[in-house]
Amino acid sequence: MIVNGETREVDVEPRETLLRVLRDKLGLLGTKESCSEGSCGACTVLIDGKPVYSCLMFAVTTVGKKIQTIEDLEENGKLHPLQSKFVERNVTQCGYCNPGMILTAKALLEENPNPTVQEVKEYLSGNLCRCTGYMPIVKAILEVAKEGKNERRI
Amino acid sequence: MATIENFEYFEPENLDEAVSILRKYKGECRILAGGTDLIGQMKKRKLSPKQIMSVRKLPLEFIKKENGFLRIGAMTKLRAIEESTLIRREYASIVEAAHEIGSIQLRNVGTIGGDICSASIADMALPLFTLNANMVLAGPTGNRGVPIRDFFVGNRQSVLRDDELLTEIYIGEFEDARKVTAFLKLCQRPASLAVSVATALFFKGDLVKQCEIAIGGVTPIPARLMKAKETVENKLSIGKNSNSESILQEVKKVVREEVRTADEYKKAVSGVLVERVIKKALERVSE
Repeated sequence: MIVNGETREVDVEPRETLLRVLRDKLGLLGTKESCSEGSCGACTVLIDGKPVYSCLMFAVTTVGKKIQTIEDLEENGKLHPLQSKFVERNVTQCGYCNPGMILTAKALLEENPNPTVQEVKEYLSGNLCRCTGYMPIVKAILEVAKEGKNERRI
Repeated sequence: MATIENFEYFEPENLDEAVSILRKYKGECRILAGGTDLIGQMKKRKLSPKQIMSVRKLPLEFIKKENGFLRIGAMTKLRAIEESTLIRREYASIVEAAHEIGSIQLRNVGTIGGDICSASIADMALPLFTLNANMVLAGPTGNRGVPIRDFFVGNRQSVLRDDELLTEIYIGEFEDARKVTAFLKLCQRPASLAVSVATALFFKGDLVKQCEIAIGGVTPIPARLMKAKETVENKLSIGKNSNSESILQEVKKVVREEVRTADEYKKAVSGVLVERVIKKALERVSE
C-alpha cells in the first residue's frame, strides 16, 4: 500500500477496511472511527487526492492507490495552513472531527481555491461535527482560501 | 464495532475471468463496485457473502460519445458523472441525479453501476428511465441488452442473473428534437422519506411532443408516470401563448392520483415535485 508517500507492506484479510488497517496495522491513529457507516466523515482520508470514507472501503481495493492521512500534512515540523488556521482560530472543541474536516477542506481548496460559503458548506456536508461548531470551521477554511491567493502551499 | 465475516476475494483482470468466477459461485459471489452500499450492508449483517469479486480492474470507467450514443461505463464514479461537461451539455438531469447522492466522499467512490444494481433507491435510474437508456449485461453467452425500464423487479431485485454483470449504460440519439431534462429530489431523513423525480421534454416548435417522467422513492422500484405524461404530451406549449401554468396544475392533480402509494404525504409531495421538475426543465428551453 502507498501511504503518505511511503510504500508499506502489510498483511491484510479481505474483510479489513482501510480504516482498520490504517489504525490497527499502521498505527496511524489520526484517522478516527465514529459511525463506521459512511455518515460522519471522521474516517475521511484522501485517495489520489480525493476525500473518501475509509470505513466503507476494503483495504485490498486500495492497493496501488495513493493514500494520504492527516499525519502527512505537517511538513518539516510546520503545520499545513489549514491546521495552523484551525489552531489559530480556536476552531477545535472536542477535535474528533478535525482530521476528516481538514482533509476534506484540503481537497476542496485544491479543486476550488476560492470557494463561496455555500460551496464550503456543501463540500463539507459529509463531515459532521458533533459539537456543532460548524461556523468557525467554515470561516477558517475561507480565511485559508483568501490567504492562499498570495501564498500557495499544498 | 461492526465486524465483517471473512470471505474469499477475487480481482479479475478481464470480463471473461469475471464472468467465469460468477458462474462458478452461482449466486454466492457478490460484485464489489464502489462498495459503499455492500460494505454497509455487510457491517449490519444484512449480507454475509462467502465470495466477493471486485471489478475495479475491469475497463469499465468511461464516459464517451460514439456514433451518436452516449456511453457510460458501469464503474464510472458518481463524482465523474457530476463533473462531466459532456453529460451536462446533453442531459442535465443525469448530472443533477449524481449530485444529489450522498456526500462528496460517497460520490468519489460510488459508481453508477453500483447505484443501479443495488436496486435500492437507485436515483441514477430515474433520468435514464426518461431517456430510455439501455444496459449492457455481460454473461457466459456474451452480452445482452436490457432497457433500463425493464431492469427492476422489486426492492433490491433486478433481472440481472447470478452469472451476469452490468458493464455499461448507453443512451441513443434523439432525432431532430429539441430536448430539455431535469431532476429533483426532496431529501429527507430517514432516507425512506425521500422522493425523486426526473423528466425529459422533447419539443416540436413550441409544443411538447413527448414527455417522460420517472419517479423514485414512492414505490419499491422506479416508475414512469404515464397519466402525467399524457397530460403534458401534445398539449403543453411554451412561448407567447404558453399554457404551462394550467397544464402544470392539472399535472399536479393527476400525479397525486397516479402514484401507487397509500402514503398521503408522498402523494402530495410527488405532485408538487413533478410540477417543479417540469418547470425546471422548461426554464432550460432558452438556455
